Amino acid sequence: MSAVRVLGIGSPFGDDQAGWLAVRALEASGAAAGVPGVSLHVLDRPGAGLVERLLDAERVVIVDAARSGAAAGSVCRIEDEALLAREAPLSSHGLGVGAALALARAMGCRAHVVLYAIEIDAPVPGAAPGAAVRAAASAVAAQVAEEIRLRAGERTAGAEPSGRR
Amino acid sequence: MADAPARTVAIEVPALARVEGEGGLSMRIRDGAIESLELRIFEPPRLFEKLLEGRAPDEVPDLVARICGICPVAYQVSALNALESLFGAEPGPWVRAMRRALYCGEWIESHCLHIHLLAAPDFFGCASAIELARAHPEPVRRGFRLQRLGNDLIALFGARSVHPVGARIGGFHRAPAARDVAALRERLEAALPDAEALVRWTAALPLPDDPQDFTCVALRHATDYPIAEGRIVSSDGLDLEPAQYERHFAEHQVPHSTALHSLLGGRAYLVGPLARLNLNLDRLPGPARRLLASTGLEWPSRNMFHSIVARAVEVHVALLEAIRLLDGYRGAAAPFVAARARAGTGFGASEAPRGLLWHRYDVDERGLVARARIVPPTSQNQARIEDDLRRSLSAFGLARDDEALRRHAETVIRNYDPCISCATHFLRFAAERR
Repeated sequence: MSAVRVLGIGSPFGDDQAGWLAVRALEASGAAAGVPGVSLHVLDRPGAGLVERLLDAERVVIVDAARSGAAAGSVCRIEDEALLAREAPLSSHGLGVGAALALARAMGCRAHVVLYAIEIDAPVPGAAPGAAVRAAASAVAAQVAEEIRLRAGERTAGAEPSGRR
Repeated sequence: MADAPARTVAIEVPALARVEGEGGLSMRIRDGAIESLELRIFEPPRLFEKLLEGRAPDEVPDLVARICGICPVAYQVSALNALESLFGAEPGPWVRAMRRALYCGEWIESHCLHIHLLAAPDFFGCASAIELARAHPEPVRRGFRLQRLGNDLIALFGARSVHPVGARIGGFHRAPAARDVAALRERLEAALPDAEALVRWTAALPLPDDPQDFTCVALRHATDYPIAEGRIVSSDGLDLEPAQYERHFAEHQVPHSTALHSLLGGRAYLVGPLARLNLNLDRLPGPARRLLASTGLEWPSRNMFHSIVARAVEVHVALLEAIRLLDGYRGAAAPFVAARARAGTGFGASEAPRGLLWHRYDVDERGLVARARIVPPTSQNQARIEDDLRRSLSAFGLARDDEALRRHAETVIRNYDPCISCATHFLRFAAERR
């Protein structure tokens, strides 16, 4: 069981690297190094594979690119039940985060799930990510580092013998 | 029993759920008989065959991988078989074995996805995989564990599991590291009990008993269960090289589908796991053969609903084969052989999770693709699905209410695991220039 699993999701196409950049920045910062139970992953579109990665973790942080019409580099943080898909997916080609979480919850997953959605411009094959997306990825990495630090503190406190105050 | 009252019913399923891609079904019943029935595929044509024209052959494996996010390896391997045979490039035993291992990963992930997310809910009266997972969490968890292994096996050779990029003409761009192979092989071995339990679970499902007559078509390999290569055989005695395919199989357009229908000697036929297993029972690895025998089901099977059992058996086969192929793995100093493009026509086939996938490439004097033809399994199964629907719905009882008929029709269609996104890549295109 992972205490904190961080998943950066993306592809090599321009701004779509946002999730990967955030996880690499987090790795470079050393914030997760040596923290027990913390694992960092960069993934291509995991699809149904995301379900399995939600099942055996206490806390899952997903960083992914989004296109909602907001300015590139905007960050939206969504937690837990707000992510749940309202309807079952029509096709496994289109299995998203919400449907994956709904499936995992149905199988008893109790992980606390946080999604950082970094707004991007249209991904362009072969292009480098834009400056706004790079800055947002760094900012998200710093936020996730803080979440890991707090979580590690909670676990340490929780691990203390009950007699100690 | 009283005769069904005379009535005219129109059943419309505007968008089929739990299939890959976008399609629908229209059916008209008049006076107790099916008047018309159309599996409508309206997903727009995706033009892949045209996109390949003018491209260098070494671009083809990465381009065709984009046809499907679920079975990209199948597209790569059929294309590689065609191009390598044209260029006279013999990739050798190491590449053949590793290609088969890569392909096993695709069978595992695609079959597990279909069994648990798409097909199984029908046999438990569940409307969705989420409902099924709530009622039966452990089998669905097991399915996801296996599916992830399949994805990891694809990523081992292809760098990623969706649209992998490791394959090239003559072999692979790089050989995976021995320690990564050993670690994955250990996980595959540990998953064998999951695969065995999956076979037993599917064999015990309350599947409709509905024997039918159909012609099976699949590849056949000299010694092994057919995956990445073989001759094309049928239950009617056909036995062909991939190059002879066009002499026997003909595609035609129907107004209600953007995917071509394919017929063998003017008749519908079946490709996919059930056809493959029916034609290759003697090619099963020993443990898979014994496990299948222990289910008590009779093979070859004429019950189309045994497709889900055949898929589970093939997950077991793929695990056994991947374990065997990766045993004692050593990397290769040169994971590919050099190949030189030459003009001519190359043909290739392999067994995609959904069935026979046939490719043909014409390469011109400049060494570029002049013409490509790709016949995916879902195109080949379309006519069979329509035949099955006519037969199954009549046997189910056309007097039943519309909702029951719609549900049964969807179950019949999903049982074939149609990949509509794969099937709609064609375009009959004629440019008029003045």
